[in-house]
Amino acid sequence: MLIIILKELKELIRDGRIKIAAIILFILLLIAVITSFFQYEKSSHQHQESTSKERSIWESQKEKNPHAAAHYGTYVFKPKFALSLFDYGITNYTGNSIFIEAHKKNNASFSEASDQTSLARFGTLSINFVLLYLFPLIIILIGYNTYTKEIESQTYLLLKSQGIHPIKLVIGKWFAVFFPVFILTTIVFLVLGTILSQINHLEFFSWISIWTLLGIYLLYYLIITSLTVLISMWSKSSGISLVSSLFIWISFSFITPKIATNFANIKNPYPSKSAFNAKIKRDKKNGLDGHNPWNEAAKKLEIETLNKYGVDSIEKLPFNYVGYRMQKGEEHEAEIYKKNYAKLKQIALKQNNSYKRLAYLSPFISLRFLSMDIANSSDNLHWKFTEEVEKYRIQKQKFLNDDIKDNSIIGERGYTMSSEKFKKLPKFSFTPPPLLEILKDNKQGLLFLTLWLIIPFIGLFVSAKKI
Amino acid sequence: MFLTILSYEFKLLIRSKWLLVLFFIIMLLIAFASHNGNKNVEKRVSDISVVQRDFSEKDSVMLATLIKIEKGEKVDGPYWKLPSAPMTIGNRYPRLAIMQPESLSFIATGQSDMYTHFKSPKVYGNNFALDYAEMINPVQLLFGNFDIAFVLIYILPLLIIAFTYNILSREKELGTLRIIAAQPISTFSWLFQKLVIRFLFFSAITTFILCVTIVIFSSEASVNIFDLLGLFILAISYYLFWFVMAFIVNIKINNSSKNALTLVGLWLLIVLVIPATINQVGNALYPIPSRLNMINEIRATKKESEAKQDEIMDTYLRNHPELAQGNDKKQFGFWHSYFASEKVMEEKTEPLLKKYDLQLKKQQKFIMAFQFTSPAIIVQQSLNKVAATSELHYNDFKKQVFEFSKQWRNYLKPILFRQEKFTVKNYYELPKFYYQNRIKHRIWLNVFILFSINGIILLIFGGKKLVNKLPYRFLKLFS
Repeated sequence: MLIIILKELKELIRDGRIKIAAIILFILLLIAVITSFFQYEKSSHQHQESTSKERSIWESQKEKNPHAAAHYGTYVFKPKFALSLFDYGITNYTGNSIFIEAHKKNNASFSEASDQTSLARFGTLSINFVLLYLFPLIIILIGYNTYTKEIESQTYLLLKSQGIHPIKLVIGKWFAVFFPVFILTTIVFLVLGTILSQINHLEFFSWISIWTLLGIYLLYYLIITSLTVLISMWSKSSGISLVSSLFIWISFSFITPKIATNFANIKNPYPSKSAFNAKIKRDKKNGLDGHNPWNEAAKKLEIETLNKYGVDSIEKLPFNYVGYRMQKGEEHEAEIYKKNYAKLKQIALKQNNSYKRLAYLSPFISLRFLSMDIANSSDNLHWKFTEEVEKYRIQKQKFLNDDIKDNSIIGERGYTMSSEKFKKLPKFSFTPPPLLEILKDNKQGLLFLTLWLIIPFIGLFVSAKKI
Repeated sequence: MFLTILSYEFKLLIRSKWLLVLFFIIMLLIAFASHNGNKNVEKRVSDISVVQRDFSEKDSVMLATLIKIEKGEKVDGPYWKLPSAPMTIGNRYPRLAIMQPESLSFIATGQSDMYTHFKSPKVYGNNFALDYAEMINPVQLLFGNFDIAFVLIYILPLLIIAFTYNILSREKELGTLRIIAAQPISTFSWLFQKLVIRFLFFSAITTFILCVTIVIFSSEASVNIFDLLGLFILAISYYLFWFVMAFIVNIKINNSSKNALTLVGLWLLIVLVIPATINQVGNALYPIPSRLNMINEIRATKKESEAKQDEIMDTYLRNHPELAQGNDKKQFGFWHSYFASEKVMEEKTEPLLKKYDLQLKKQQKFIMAFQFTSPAIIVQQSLNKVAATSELHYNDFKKQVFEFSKQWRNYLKPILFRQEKFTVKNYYELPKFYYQNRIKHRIWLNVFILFSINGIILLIFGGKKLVNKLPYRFLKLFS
């Protein structure tokens, strides 16, 4: 078997096409690494600058009414994760900053994609673009004729007459097709890890994530290798083998994911922004409005509070009722947002499940989701981030409303909070989920990848004996 | 000879069931893509009709209240919510600016899945900072849509490759090339004529299917025959590009698997690698300026303006005496100060916005300068423009909304400053928004560019032989 592997590898090294393809890949990877690195540095710097600038705007506020400060609001920013240099995921399609203010949960705004031209929809040459789309092609290029060439040059009978075991032959050929890509991919991830570890102010970098990514990409390449060798075994000529392998590649990487988009849209359509906001407005209408003491829910809260403290007027409460009502109103509105966003998240999850279910047609989908999840550039992470921001918003509103409640008296006009106190508002922080949790969330994807690995592999053994 | 080859090729394609397979595959692909595109347009129209309905309902309640107020009848609700106050109209009853889909919008999703198609600019707030992003699952944006543009740009070239990659090499591999070479026609012309015939079949099939699809999904599209014709010819010139490539590869390489490999390599380069590289290099050389920095600066300017409120108001009234006439300055409230400081804000933030736009345009200019390096980009840009879903259309929509919001504010502002009430008459005079598609698609220019690219490539690779043999062959064509 070793002889077969060595013979195949020697042939590969001698093949001019492989050399050209390897050079092109190297150039593309180099462009991707250099540009991604500079972009990462730039946006990481921008992120740090914006975070500190925004904090200083908040902290340098002159004494003012805490509720006025709540309306003035502030921005929070999504951290720049180390592996987003490798896989941009959905980062370009979602904004990275959220404006937080009183009474309102805002979405992340100003996505980069909305400022780009429609050319961006072709994709961007990131490192994982090369790994996702081009590396499988290298496997196809190496392996499409691994069996057909023996038939075309009439050496297959010769091989058989030598008494070679078909299983040994298939494993040897299979390994020889996979080996170069295995080496290349490992080098790419090693270089990536080394570059990342050199960057200053790097957030959430871990070698374990890099090795996991490497493992998952290799798993996908193993699938492509098995399929390519299998197709080569079944094909009558190299041309047919190549065209069939390419058809598999394009349907994995382009056709199935796009079909999934349309299925997901038809089965679980997203509401339009205006319909979603109108629904929230309707829900808010009959609820507690922190600004309006005359609304029914506010009156009910007043009675409940008076009963709780055993007093007959809000003036006799041990705190300023206005601040208390404001906070209760805020919590009530936060509940409305929570309920509506939970529904929206359900739609998003169902849509994503439409993609993930189609992974039985394309292992690419499982790989794509896993890759961006591990790189912390997925929509999963974005949801987690927006949920943390909302928690922080409520915490911030409580900080400000409590100040009114505890330090001002009812009916006091022109109450202001000292400028020093603005500095005491805790800073926003966000930690991505641990790798194990990410892998658990992607159990289905991992299962699909494993199945995709096993079935063609069995097919190889079965077919090897038959030809 | 051409007619002999034509009839032989036709028989061959019919017997090998190639034409049938091709017809059904293309029909299936285009039908599915049109269905998807149509669903997207339907959703857009349905979202628009929901907002329109809500808008009309809200407006009719407001109008009824206005009539009541004018008749002196009692009206419920706090005074600041009454529509007789011009700023209540400006802030609670904004007009609706709608961007309806065009008749060919279903052919290319373009940027339409990212943006909203309606906006209601209020008198309060920064109009330049309005967020036009639509609510959408970003995973969908990442994977993209299966629309006609996808079929034309990505899949049909692969079908062409499968249809043409081994025309000459197959004959060589089957050993029939010698028989062909013995015929009274050069192999070069034989291949050329064969490809011309296949190109004609392919174009006829796709154009026919596209025609039927457009008739089914968009009867209005046939109104603009000239654009439609441009669209068909653009698609044909793109197919031609791939046939030209197949011709050159067949001649130069002449080995089935190597041919397929080279053509797929070209496909990869044209539809994937070149666009992605231009995009990435463009982003690296001219990074998108940080909106956050811009917003930070605007917020800082705003803060500064708030501190100088009285001073700003005095200057504003000096510059606009018509608004101050006959009014006591002391009666001026929040809205008056707001408009006065808004003007200052506008002046101060203008350079910031201009700087931002300039940086953005530099990137866009760089990227668009390289669009001619790939016919796929030319076709994508053209299809988006014909479908009115390009970024240019959305930027122009934003511009039109911005212009309209100015017009709308300027209508309400004098009523506020004159301390008049908003009346039923004013309601009917309110400016209305009409979206105009002001972007020229220049499809014929792109058709010309694509044909020129094809011509140049043909001349470079097969120039000599073509120039020498074709006129003669064409003269002899029907002899």
